[in-house]
Amino acid sequence: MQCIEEKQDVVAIVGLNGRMDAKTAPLVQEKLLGLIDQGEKRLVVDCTDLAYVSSAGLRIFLMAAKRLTQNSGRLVMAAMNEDVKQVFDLTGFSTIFTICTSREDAIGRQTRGA
Amino acid sequence: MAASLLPVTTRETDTPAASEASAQPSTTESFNAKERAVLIGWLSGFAVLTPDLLAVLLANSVMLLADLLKTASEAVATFLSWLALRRIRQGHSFDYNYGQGKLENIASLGVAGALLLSWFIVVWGAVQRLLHPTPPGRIGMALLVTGGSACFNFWLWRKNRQLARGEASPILAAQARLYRAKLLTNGGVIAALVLGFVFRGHTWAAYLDPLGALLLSGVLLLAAYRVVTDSMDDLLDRTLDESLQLVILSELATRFDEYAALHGIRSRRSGSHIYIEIFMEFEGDRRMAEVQDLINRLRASLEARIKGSQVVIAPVTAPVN
Repeated sequence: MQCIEEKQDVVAIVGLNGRMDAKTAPLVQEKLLGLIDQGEKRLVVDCTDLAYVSSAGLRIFLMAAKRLTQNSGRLVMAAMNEDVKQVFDLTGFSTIFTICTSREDAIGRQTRGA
Repeated sequence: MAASLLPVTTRETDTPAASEASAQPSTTESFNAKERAVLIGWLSGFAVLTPDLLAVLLANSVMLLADLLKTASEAVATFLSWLALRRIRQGHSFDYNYGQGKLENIASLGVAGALLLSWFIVVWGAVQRLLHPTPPGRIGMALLVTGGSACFNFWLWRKNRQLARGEASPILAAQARLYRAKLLTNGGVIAALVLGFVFRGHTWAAYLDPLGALLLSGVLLLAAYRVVTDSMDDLLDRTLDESLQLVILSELATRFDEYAALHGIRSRRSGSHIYIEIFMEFEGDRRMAEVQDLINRLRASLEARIKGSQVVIAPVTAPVN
């Protein structure tokens, strides 16, 4: 699992590459929560290259979303594949996360919200 | 609404399982039934040893000898399982808050050990007979004893499987597998004996007994493997499987706006009990009664969806590893 971080204006983008499971979730946790603790309020998680997410990964997303909410921030998920989207739908995560079909849409949404 | 698409899942054994809360008065009857089933198992195991020994001597069959030794080791293992259940029924939860349920897993490992020992004995005996083939002896007594054993093992298998459907017990699951393996062994023994007798005039007939024994050794090995893999994860406090983790997360997603932060989730099994700990933070200005109400609703919902679970929700203000 690789976490690729970049910044566009006020939007912090974290690209996930690989599988997010019990072994790799701590890496993503460190990255996402670290950004939030540094003061980032508009986060986009680019799932273009995210092949799979397990319950461990979902837990990290939930923690990050709650922490951002407490800091008046927002997390947007982008470009999920069918498998990842299905997991989000089955667990009800689709109702608590904003999910965009493309990275550009997600960045645009976060930018407009600034 | 999406959360409701997730099934109410339990631990996967051979059959669907329901809740076993041995500490709850409402399941005492089911626990006693389980204990009786295991008691019958080891009593019957020891009861057939004498006729089995006679059959071995009369038939001069390595397969029957292996079966005799296997039955003896399995009877001992089943006896250990019964002792574990008795200990659970008698309490001791104050001494071992979480470890009580692990007695079932340990007893299941005893059953696996018996199966492995049996496998070794069968393979050794079969190889010896292949190297030094011996024509079969008198099989009448052997057929009678083995046939009777098969009928009894069939009944025990069905009974344990039925009980395992109503419980999430490692012991019952292991017992059901054991009796299924024994039943298959009985069938193999009968087939080998009959064929060996029918074709006794042929030289190759002397090889039927050991070859049949080798085939059955695979069944024993597979049964032992499944029992070990099922028990070891729980003994090592492995977290709940993925489907149950998703159930927990779906509940937290449903109540997303009711808590301030999620700081950790822990889960494990102990025997047929499931323990779930959720560490959450709540807004500082909320009344304790409101927090307690949320905790009660979340706990009730999770315990209803995950059979056999005991959920503890702890208000914390910092991450928990």
